[in-house]
Amino acid sequence: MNSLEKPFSLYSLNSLVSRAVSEALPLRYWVTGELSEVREAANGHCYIELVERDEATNEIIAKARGAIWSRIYTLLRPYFLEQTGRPFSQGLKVLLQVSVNFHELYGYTLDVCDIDPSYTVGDMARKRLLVIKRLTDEGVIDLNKELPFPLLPQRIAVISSSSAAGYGDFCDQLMNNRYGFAFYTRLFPSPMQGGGVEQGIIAALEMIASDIDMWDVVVIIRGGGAVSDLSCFDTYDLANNCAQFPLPVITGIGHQRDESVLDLVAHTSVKTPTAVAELLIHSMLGQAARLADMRQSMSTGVRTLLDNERRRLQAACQKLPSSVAMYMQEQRHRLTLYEKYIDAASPEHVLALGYSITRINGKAVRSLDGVAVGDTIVTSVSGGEITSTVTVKNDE
Amino acid sequence: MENMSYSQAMQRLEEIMRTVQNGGIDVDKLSAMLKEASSLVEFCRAKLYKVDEDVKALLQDFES
Repeated sequence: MNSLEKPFSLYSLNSLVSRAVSEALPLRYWVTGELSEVREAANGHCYIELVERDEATNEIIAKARGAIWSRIYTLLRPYFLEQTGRPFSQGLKVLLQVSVNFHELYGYTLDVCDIDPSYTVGDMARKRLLVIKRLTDEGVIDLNKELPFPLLPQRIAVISSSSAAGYGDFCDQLMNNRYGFAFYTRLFPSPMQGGGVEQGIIAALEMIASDIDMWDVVVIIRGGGAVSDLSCFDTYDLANNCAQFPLPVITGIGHQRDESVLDLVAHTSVKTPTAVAELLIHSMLGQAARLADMRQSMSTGVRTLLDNERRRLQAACQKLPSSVAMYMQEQRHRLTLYEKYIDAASPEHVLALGYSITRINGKAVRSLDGVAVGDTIVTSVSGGEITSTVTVKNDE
Repeated sequence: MENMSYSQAMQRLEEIMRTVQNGGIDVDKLSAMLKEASSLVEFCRAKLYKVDEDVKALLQDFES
C-alpha cells in the first residue's frame, strides 16, 4: 500500500457507497419479489425480506432486506388485506415501490413506499387457475358433484374448528329445526385458518372414511364473518382429497370474491354454516313434502277407485230392470219359436199331413223285421185307427 | 319392513300409489294394500322425525 494513501475508515467507505447508490438510483422503483420474511416490530415498523427464485429450479437468485416504516405500514397493511383477502405475509408475491438505500450500519436495504395489491391478486389467481386446470386435466374436479345426494342427509360428519362459534350455531340450528327433523352430527376438528388447514382437513376426511357407512354427508364449515385468508382452501391436495371423497361434501366456509377451489370441487357450496344447515333441513323438508303428497294422492286415489266402483254398481242397478225386461222378452220370443217347432213336429200334425203310424202290440213298426204274415197291425191315421191283418210281406 | 331403506320404502309406496291410481287393483285387496301403505308411511315418517336411539348410541360410542 502506498504510504501516502490514507486508508478509509469503514464508515467513510460505507458513506461513499451510500452516496454512490443514492446518486445512481435517485428515484423510486417498482420491484417484484416474494416475501420470504415479514416481521412486525413492536414500534409499528415492518421488516421484510424479499427474494427472487429461479423459475426452473426454485433456487433463490436474489435477496434484499427492506423496511416499511410505521406511518406507511399502518395504511398499507389493512389496504393490502382488503384488496387481496390475505394478510401481508410470508410466501406472497408482491409488487412494491421502493427507494434504494445503503446504510452505513445496515447495508443494502429497500424502503417501501407503496404496494400494488393487484399484482398479488393476479399471482394468487394464476396459482388458483393452475390448481383448477390440474384437477380438470386429471378428471377429478367434478367427481364429488357426481355423487347422488342422499334422500335423507341426517348423519352429518362435520369438519370445523372446535373453537369456532360456527360449529355450535350449526348444531343448534339443526337440532332445533322447527319441523322436528332428526339429525345426528359429530365434529372432526381441524384448523380452519392458517398453515394447518390442508393437513387438518385431509386427516379429518381420512377419519371419516374409516367409518364411511356411519355418515350420509360431510360438511366443512368455518364461522366468523371477517375477511380473512381463504387461500388455504385453494391447495391442490385438499381439493383433490375432497373431490375424490366417496360422500358428498358440503362447504360453508365463506367467500367474498371468488369461490375457493375447495368450494369448486365440493358437491354443494354455500356461503355460511347457517346456509349449510338450511340446505340440510330443506332436503328433509323436500322428503316430508313428498311423503305428505303421497299420502294425499293415496287417499285421493283410493277415493276415486271406490267412487268408480260405486258408480259401476249404480249403473248396473239402473240398467237392471230394462235389461231384465229385454231378457224376458227375448226368452218369450224364443219360447214361441220352440212352441211352433214342437207343434210342427207333433204326431197329430204329421198324421194330418197324410202320414200314418203302424203298431204291432202297441210298438211302432219301423221296418219289416218283427212283422209276420198273419200279424194283426193297428194303423193310426188322422182322426182314428184301422186294424188289419198282414197277408203279404214284400221285400223291396 | 325393518330392513328396508327409506328409498326402498318410498319406492314401494309409489308403486302402490300407481296401482291404486290406475284402478288396477281388486277392491277385495284394497284394504290389505292400504294397510301396507299406511305402515310404509309411518316407517318413512319415523325416519324423518324420530331420533333413532341406535344411531345416536352408535355415534356416541364412536366419539368416546
